[in-house]
Order: sequence, then structure tokens, then C-alpha cells
Amino acid sequence: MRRGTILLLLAPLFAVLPGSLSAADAGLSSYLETHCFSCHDSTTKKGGLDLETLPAQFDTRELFDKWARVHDRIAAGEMPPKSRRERPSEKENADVLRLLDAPLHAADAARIAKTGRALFRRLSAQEYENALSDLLHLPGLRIKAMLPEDERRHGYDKIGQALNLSNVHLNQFMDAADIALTAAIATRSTPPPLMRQRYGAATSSETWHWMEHGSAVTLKDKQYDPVVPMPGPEDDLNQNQELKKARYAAFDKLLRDYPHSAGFFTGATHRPMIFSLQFSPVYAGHYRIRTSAWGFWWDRGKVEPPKRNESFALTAWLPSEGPRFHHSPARWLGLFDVGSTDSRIHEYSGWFEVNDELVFDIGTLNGHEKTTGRFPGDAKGSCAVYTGPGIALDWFEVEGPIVDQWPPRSHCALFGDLPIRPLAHDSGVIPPKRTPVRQRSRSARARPANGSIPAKEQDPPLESVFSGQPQQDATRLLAQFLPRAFRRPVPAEEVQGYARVAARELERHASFEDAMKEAYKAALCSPDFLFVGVPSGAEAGDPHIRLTDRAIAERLALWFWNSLPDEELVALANEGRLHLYDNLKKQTDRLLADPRSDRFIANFADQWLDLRKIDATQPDLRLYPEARTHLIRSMIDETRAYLRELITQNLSVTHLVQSDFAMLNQSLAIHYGIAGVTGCAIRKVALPKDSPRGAFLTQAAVLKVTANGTDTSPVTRGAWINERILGNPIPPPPAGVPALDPDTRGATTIREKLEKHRSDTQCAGCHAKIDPPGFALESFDVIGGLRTRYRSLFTGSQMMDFHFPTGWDPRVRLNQPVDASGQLPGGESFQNLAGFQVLILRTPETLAANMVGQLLMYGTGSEPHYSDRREIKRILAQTKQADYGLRSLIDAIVHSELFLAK
Amino acid sequence: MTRFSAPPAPSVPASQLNRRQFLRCGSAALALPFLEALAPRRVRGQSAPRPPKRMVCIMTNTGLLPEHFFPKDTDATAGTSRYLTHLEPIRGYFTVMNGLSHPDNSGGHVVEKSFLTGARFPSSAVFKNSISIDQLAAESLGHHTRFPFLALGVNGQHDGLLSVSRDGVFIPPELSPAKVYRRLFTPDTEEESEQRLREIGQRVSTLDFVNAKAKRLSSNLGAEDRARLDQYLTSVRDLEQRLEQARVWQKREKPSVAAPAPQDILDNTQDVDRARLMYDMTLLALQSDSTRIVTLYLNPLEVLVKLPGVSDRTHTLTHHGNEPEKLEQLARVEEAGMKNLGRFLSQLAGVNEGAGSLLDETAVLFGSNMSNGSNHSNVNLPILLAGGRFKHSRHLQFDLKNNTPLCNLFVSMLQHMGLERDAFSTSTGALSGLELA
Repeated sequence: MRRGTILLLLAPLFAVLPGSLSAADAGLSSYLETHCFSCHDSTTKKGGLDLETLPAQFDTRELFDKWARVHDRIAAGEMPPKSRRERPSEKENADVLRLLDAPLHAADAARIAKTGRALFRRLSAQEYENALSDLLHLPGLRIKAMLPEDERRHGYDKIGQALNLSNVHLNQFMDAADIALTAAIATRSTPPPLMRQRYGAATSSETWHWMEHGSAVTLKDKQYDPVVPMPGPEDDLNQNQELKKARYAAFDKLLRDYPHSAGFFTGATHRPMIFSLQFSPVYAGHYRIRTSAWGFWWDRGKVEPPKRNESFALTAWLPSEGPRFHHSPARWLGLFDVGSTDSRIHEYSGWFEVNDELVFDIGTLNGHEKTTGRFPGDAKGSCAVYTGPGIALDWFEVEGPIVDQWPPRSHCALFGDLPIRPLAHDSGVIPPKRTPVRQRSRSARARPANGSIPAKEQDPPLESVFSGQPQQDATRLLAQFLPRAFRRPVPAEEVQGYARVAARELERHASFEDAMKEAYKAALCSPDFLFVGVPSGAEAGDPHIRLTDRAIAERLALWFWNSLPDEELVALANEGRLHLYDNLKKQTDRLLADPRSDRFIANFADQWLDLRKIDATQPDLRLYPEARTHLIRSMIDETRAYLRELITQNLSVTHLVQSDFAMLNQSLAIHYGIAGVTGCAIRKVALPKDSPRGAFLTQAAVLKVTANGTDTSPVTRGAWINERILGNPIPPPPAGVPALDPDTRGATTIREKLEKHRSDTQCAGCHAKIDPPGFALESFDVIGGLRTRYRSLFTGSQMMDFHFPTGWDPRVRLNQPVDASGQLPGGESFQNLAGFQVLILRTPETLAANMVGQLLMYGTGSEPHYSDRREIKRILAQTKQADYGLRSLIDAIVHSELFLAK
Repeated sequence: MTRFSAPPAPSVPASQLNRRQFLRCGSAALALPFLEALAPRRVRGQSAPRPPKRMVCIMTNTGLLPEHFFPKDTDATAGTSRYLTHLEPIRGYFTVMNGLSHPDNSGGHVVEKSFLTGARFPSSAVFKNSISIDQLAAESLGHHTRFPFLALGVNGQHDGLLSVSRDGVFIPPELSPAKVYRRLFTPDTEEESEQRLREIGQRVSTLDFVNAKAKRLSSNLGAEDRARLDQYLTSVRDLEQRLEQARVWQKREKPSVAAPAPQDILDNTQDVDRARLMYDMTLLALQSDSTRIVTLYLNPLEVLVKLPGVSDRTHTLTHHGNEPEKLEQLARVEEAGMKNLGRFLSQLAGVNEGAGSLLDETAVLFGSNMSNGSNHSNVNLPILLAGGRFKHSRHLQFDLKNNTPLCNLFVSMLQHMGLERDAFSTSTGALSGLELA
């Protein structure tokens, strides 16, 4: 009877639908009936699946997805369930999988042949920023934050289906293009004056503030300089305003031009010691910052050699229309070492916007709190009674804006060599908008002060690019610009269209500058710039829609530079030679060797490994006092450096879960308990044999983004490892399942609570797969520290020993012991992470298949498709010889039909 | 007249609006913004137009401790709670609902994405959002006011935002009260106005130009790809319309209010004051009829809120693990938020409009995407509706095991706005027990 039903359904479909099962495939119906119908028939419909009446049809999304799921669950050995007495033989399984795979592949391949894998799509916000930055030669351009945040699929912001467009987007793309063009255009015939200024560390009022609180001292000839007295241990300046005033008056009198140094210690608990160097540029541009600094050990007034290397940080607060706070948004510029009492000169060079503000951060000293400062909650004391590490700053020096040519390249990209001339106010055109040159920072005593900027600099005479023959110049300039922007030759009539935009504006009395700006803006918002992936016309019978060489150039550049192709790629594409095997290889080499590939490393790690979420939650600083900015920034650097190393050295995909080396600096090495690493630079470090560190799986950044800041959950981490590393998609939790209530008071661990949930047969199936990797990682806390017991503020009799050099000992208790054992869905047990690693590494091809899948999503902007599988299998076979080295995988993908077809 | 023991609105009531100036703005092209205060007192009641309906949707994204939020019993006259005591001045003008949530919405924070849309499976890797209730209302009603809607926020996006376009795109909220005030009330100089009109003209011309380019491109594309390009064309058309409206409004004077321009508070630890400024802007916007639809996104997640007895970040506190010390800190943070809400609602109640108050015409939704930050639960959400012409009953209890769709409440709110709709997203009807008066 049952068999009759399925045959009836199958028989007529075969004749009409290419993507359906043959009636002759009695093997399938017999398999389903024997092994599946007892749960998945029309009466039981377990899990909502009724295989008895499911039409064997594959040409609608819904039916296709159901059959694909049937295939995948049988393939994974999850179905029929292990608990069944009568189980199919391996051959039976292999046969039925073949029977299902053939029509599934055929149906999907037929669909792809018509539509392609990837969609024609707009640029993401980040790609738009990078593209304008490269096109206009504006290395410091920051417009991404103006654009709405892009939606993601599978974590990636490059997937066509998710990259929607609304009038809000379009309006903001236009605003962003306007800002970029404004930044690119030179508004003066001569470069802005170069400033080169050295500032003594003790001359700023910010330093005085910390001196007042006993967290900074004056130093002269590497010794304490009693030019101003240290506050007594009982002086309370918050209460005693008289004393405070007197002290400030002394600072102002004695330190205004103090030629020597200042030493800094730690600030208040929970408050990182970060302060402005009171420099904020009034011109955007390239600046060189030099510092002279050294380290020391402070013993209640005595300067001694430091006991270890420390590092300070430079950051820059982003432009703000009001006062700044220590938690104001900032850019991280870097860490700098001070390892001895010898003054050491460091240099940072980079782009600064108007109203960025340079900030000094005592870096690795943050986290030594408790012994200085006099904010509420602090212990009594100050530098007079403090013993511990310090960082001395002699001076810092600012040089900039440094220009290598004038007008700058950004301007020449738009206006070539047209002269910049004074524009008379009665010239009959609407004068272009200008922003006066002012100190925009609202911070006290920001430099350069307005008073020091000459009047003719503050409001310079109006100058603008001049054209004697605007029509011809517009056409000429656009004919140069548009092919670069559109990545293709642009016919003369198309150029004329844009020239007419400029002409229209000129008629409306716009200046030449503004008229051209409008034409450029139109180009930067047109679909020719904004959209990527135009396919070539499909030829009948072709199994794929070929990509044009132009679209291949876009794919390569978007993958490795996260931007649009440069002239070399476009030239090859225009010649129609980019898709040739050798050229693809050479270009991949070139793109990966270019510094712009750092964007791929950073962006791919952000999306694949969720590193963009590193600051989404902040650890509870009472429980995790080590979680300081320098450590968190170093975590990101580690993961990026490791990814880069795997690609550059073509290391095997097994390095995702296990490694014999790590990319570390001093902060990370201390965090991981690895000796012998001094200095803030990330370098390759060979690991002791028993170290669990190195691989992504145990990197602090990964362990942090998979925790919530206060506690860890094996479910969250397990789901994450399944999806990102092992390639097992995890469905969202079903509705109506009561959530686990974490309770840190008592003796029940999250794991014990989870056991109850897992023993429920409703939940057991999925959790058998989700949780095991999470269990293996239970030995790691929310910031990736190794633990044998959970931390608690209130429960547990034993206290943690942090071994902070200053002797600061936060009161954190050790609660229940950690259990990191588990069992894979296949039944194999592991005792700890090492055991888990051994089990996972038995099948490196699983890791490789996932890696290829992740790179394909990023590199082609398409979700995975069923019919990709055969080509992925081929890629795996091709790269097995190379142990699935990451670079080998990348090369194989670039040459695969998945990459070269739409 | 005043039925509330409410504190007066801080800003100067609409009666101080300049009538001559107001009339000058009026034009047949656009519906007259309604301002009760401008109707001459003597003729009010005879010819005064009916006051327009307004809607405010507020979400805080860290959950609310249920034991302090929900009333202790369901008795309409008695039940109250620690948080609800701050709404005493408007007793009888709000309803707390327990047992509402969005079907197929789980995954903790991520559910933020569909708070005003109800879209299913926000935690799915292939989630696609749908239009939010405010945007739906703005599509029909937005043309009546200078701003079709206002999306406001205190701190930017965590996982999601409130206002979502028809294409499933989040509309970024304005985070600066000073900018809101400037856009709504600060008059442009003649020069600024000319420049703005010029910019609008330029942008419209440019849109016209790229529109033609896009149309030419579409001939090469297959159906799915063309749909992407169609989104572009739709965006162009929508933006053109917005700009045309903006052009009309640019030529009219902005309403003037006596309330001074606010100064932005940049120190995010002053979260309570920052939120209060945004509430103030919401009130002014409604009062001056600059818009009738406001969303307010409150994200105190990673903020250490400066309050007595609070020493940890809100997010840390929501992971309280039932430790009493953290629970009390969290209650203080949430209570400060409820005080802000109570103040705002009382002010709405204090503004006379037509025969009633501004609160009578404004449906205010307040709630969170999580019922409990500690376990990230997304069922039995804390939801409160105040104002509007509803028969408020203080506490509506729904099935806690088998929740009623939150979208049912949204249907009721859309009906309050005068939209004839009986369905929205996952709704199964209007919310039972909440009748329009």
C-alpha cells in the first residue's frame, strides 16, 4: 500500500521534469519505506517531515531544500537515528545517497546555468569606502560610518541577496561621495604650512592633572625632580579645593616651559589611564609623530631600572563636537616599547583628520591599578608611597601635514594639471563652499591654538581650480576619470553625458570646481560604479554564465583588496587576457603581496571568525581585571597575523585547530603563560609541546567573541565551531524551549544545567552535535585565559593569585572545577581539548571543505549552492597533495569554475 | 481640563507658537499640520479639525527584570510594581501586557532586528527583514508633516534597529538631540535656504541622470539580477519624492518653539540624561506636529550608567547570575529608565489638544526585545502601551506558555492611527482585550 503511494507520485513526474526521480528508482522508495516511514510517514510526520507524500520533485525551492536535507542527514549518519535497531548497511546508504544526489545536482545545476551562483550586486559600505579611497588617493578616508550598516548572510557582508538598497542608502552614498570629493579637492594653490613642533611631556595641563592626583611626577636626568612637591599620602584634593588651587598655580608657574620629562603610573581602578597629548590637527593630512620615552621602576621617589619591558599606546580620538572622555571613540595607532631607562625614539606616521586628537595611553601599565591615584574606590596612597613600574615620556613631536606633491594626487585625479587661482567674489559664479581653518577640538588647551594660526591661514583668500575652456576640460577630465571609476573603456558619447551634467551646473552659475564635482558625484552614485558582477551574455547550452574579464577583475580585487580593481587588472581585463591560467596566478600573487591585502586579512577575519564583535561585549572588569585595551588589541593582531602566516607559508588547514607555533607579543604571551616573549611586536613563537595555544580554536580573540563578557556557554561556542570551523550549519533553536538560567551563586555549573536540557529527547539530537566542541573549550574563560576552575566574585573559598607586578591582588574567587570532556556525535569520547583536537584532525578534508566554503562565500559573494559540491570535491582532490595548504586552496578556488563563472 | 496630576511640559506649550508664521506655512498642497493651540479659543469645538493620531515606539535592548516590571496581580485597580510606580501620574492611561512575543523569534539580542517588524527567524544565517510598523504608518501618513517619521536613538546599533524599510533595510537613527532640534526648529538663513534648495535641485537632476543610466543597463540582466537593479530604480524614485517634499517644506518657515536648543551630552555614562533629551525632542516634535511617527532606540548595553549604587556596565549586570548585588544595580538602571518614560508620558498628558490631551492622541509603545537579559529569553516580553484612545486596563495577561503575537498589538496601534488594517506581519488579528474607546 505504502509502496504504491510513492510509485504513483513518482511515475508521472519523471516524464515531464528533468529534476525528478525516475519511477525505476524503486531503490529509493524501498529505502524510505524500510528506514524512514516509521517516523516520517503521513500519520507521524516526526519533525514535520512526511516523506510518504513528499513529491519527488526538485524544481521548487521548498521541495529541493527538503530533499537536500534528507540527503545530508543520511550522509552525516544522523538519520536514520542510531537508536533504531534495524539500520541500513553502508552500501544501502551509499546507494540511496547516489540516487538522491543525481537529481539534486541536476536540478540545481540547471538553475545555476540560468541565473548564475552570484547576484549582480551593489558594493558594501566598506567596499565603497575602500574604492573611493583608492580611486581618489585618500588613504585616510573614513566614510563607512556614514552609511547604513550592511546586512549579512552567514556572517558575510558581501552576499548579493543581503545587500539591499533603499532611498536611505542612495542618499547617504551621495553624501559620502560628496565628502570624499571635498576631501580630494585642493582649495589652495600652495600647500598648507608644515608645522614641526616638539612638546615637553610635563608642559601639558593633562599631565598636571595626573600629577595632582599622584599618578605622574616630574623627572630630570632620569631621577625624580622635586620642582613641584608630590602630594602627601593623606592629601585629598577632591575635598580640599584650596590645596588644589595652590597646586595648579604652582604647576602653571613652574612647568609651563619645563624642559625635562614626566613619569606616569597607573590611574584609578576600572578607569584606564588615557590622556590627551593636546594635539589636534587643523589640516587633514599625513603626519609624523615622534616620541621619546623610557621605562623605569619607581620606589617611593626613587627611579630604578625597570624589571621588565612595558609598552605605551598612542590612539586618536575621533572628531567630536564636544568634550572627550576616556571612553570616547578612538582609533588605535599602536603600541611602543620602553624596556630600559635609556630614552628611545619611536615614530608613528599616518593620516589624521581635522579634529582627531592624539592620545597617550600607558598601555601595558593599565591593569596594575590600585596602588596610586585618589579616586573614589582607590586605596590611599600616591606616587609618594607607590612602588611599581612607570613609563616616562620626555617629549613628543609633531610634523605635518607632509605633502609629497602639490596639488595632491587626489586633486590631480580629478583636475589634472589645471591651475588653482584666486576666485574673485564678483566673478559671477556661486563661490564653492570653504571651511575656515580653526582648532576644532573642544579639549582644553588643544594645540595648535587658534591664536597661533595666522589670520590669512584661518580664512584664506578664495582660490579654486581654473579652466579657460570649461567644456573641453570637462570632457577631457571625465574621459580620464570614468574608465578608472567604471573599470572599462568608456565610449565618447557616455563621457558626453557626464560632461553635460557639468555643463548644466555651469549654466546654473556653479564654479568649475563645483560643476565637475557634481559630474563626478553622478558617476560615483551611478550603477556603473556602484554595482559589480555584470555577466556576459549567456550562450545557449553553456553550463555556466561566464563572467566577463571585467567582472573577474572585480572579483579578484574585492576578494584580496576589498576594493575595486586597479589599472593593471583593468588593462588585462580590457585585453581579455585576465582569465588565462597564468595571469590569474600572477595576479593573485601580486594582489596578496600588496599592502592592500591587509584589508582582506582583517576583513575576512572580522567576518569568518566574527572578530568585528571583539568590542561588542566588554568583560566584567571585576572578574577579569586583565582585560585591558592593549590585550584586546593584541588579540586581534594575533588572529590576523596567524591568518596571514597560514596563507603566506601555505600551511595546512589542520592549523585551524592545532598548531606548533603561535603569533604572539608580550601581552599575549603573559596571558597565555608562555615565557620568553619581550616586546609589543607580534612574532612567530615556537610553542612548548603541551601548549594548547596557537590555532584559531584557542586564540583569545576567538574565545572572546564566542563568550559574552561574563560567562561562557558550551552551546554558543559549540554552535560557532560547528558553523565556522567544521562546516556544520546549526538551525536556530526551536521556539518554546526554555532558556538556561545562569546562576553564579550556587554550586551548579552551566554544564550541569545543560545536562538536564540535553537529557530531554526533544533536545538531545541537535545538542549531541552542537555542544561537544563547546565542552572542549570549557577550559578557556571569556577572555581566552586557561582555567581549571570558574571565577566568581562571591562564591568559593580560595582566592585567585593574579601575580601582578605591583602586588595588586583583585579579590576574585575560584568556584567549581571545569570539566572539558565530551563525546562526539559519532560516539568517540575525549577528556579535554587535546583529545578533541586528535579526533577532529582525523578528517582534515572536513576542515578543508569548510575553509573552501568560507572563502567561496567571501570571494564570490554568493551563498553555497548544492551543485557547488562536485567542484569543491575536485578542489579538495587537487589540493590534498599540498595538505590543503591555505594558499593552495585559494589558488584552486581562483582557477575553479565556481570563481570564473557568475 | 487637566485630568492628570502631571508635571507641566518643560518646553513651552504649542500655544506660544506664532500664529501668523504658522498660517504662512500652510498651503493647499500639503495637509495642514494640526496644532490645537492655534485654533482661536472661541471657535474651538465647532470647526476645529480633529487632532491627528500619533505613534511613538520605544525599545530598550537589555530586557527588564520581570519581577519589577509586571504588576503583582492582574486586578485593574490595584496591581502595581516597583517600576510602574513611576507611571502613577498617568494611572488609567496605560496597559502592561504579559505573554506577548514574536513567533519564531529566538536567539537573544539578535531579536532586536525584528522588534517592530515581527519578521521570523532573525537569528538565521539567511534572515531577511520586513517593513516595520512605523514605516508602514509613515507610508500612508508621512506626507502630512515636515518629517514623515523620526528615527531617534541613544547609542547606535547593537544587533538591530527599530525602523526598517520595505526592503528590509535598517534606517539609522539620529543620535544627536541638538541635530534633531536644528532640523525641526532652527530657522535657516536666507543663504542656507538658498543653498539647501540648490543642493536639492542638484540632487534631483543627478538622480534623473543616473536613473536613465540604470535603465539602459538593465537590458543585459537576467530576472534575478534585474530585481537588484530595480531596487536601485525604486530607491531613485523614492529619493526623488522625498527631495520634492523636502523642497516644498524648505520654502516654509519652521515652527518656532520657546524651548531652547539642547546641548548634546557626549559622556555616555550620563545615559539617563541622554535619553531624557531624546524624550524631550520627541515631545517637541509631536507637539509642533513636525512628525506624527517616532521610533526611539535605547541601547544602554555597554554603558556604565552613572547612578548612585551602580558600578558595572549594564550588560555585565544583565548577566547577573542571580547575584543579589548585581540584581539591585540592574534594577536601579532600569528604574531610572522607567522614570524617564513616566516623565515623558506625564508631559504628553499635560499638553492639551482638542478636547483631550496629546497623550490621548498618541499611542506610545514601550518594551524590550528580551524578557530576561540573563538567559536571553525572547518570550513573555515586557510590553507597555500608553495613551491613544484605548480602553486601558492596566494589566493584560496572555498565555505565558503559548504567547500571543506581539504583532496583534501592532495591528491595534495601526488601527489607532486610522489605518484600516486587520493584519501586520505575524499577527492573528487585533489584540484581544485592548479595545479602542
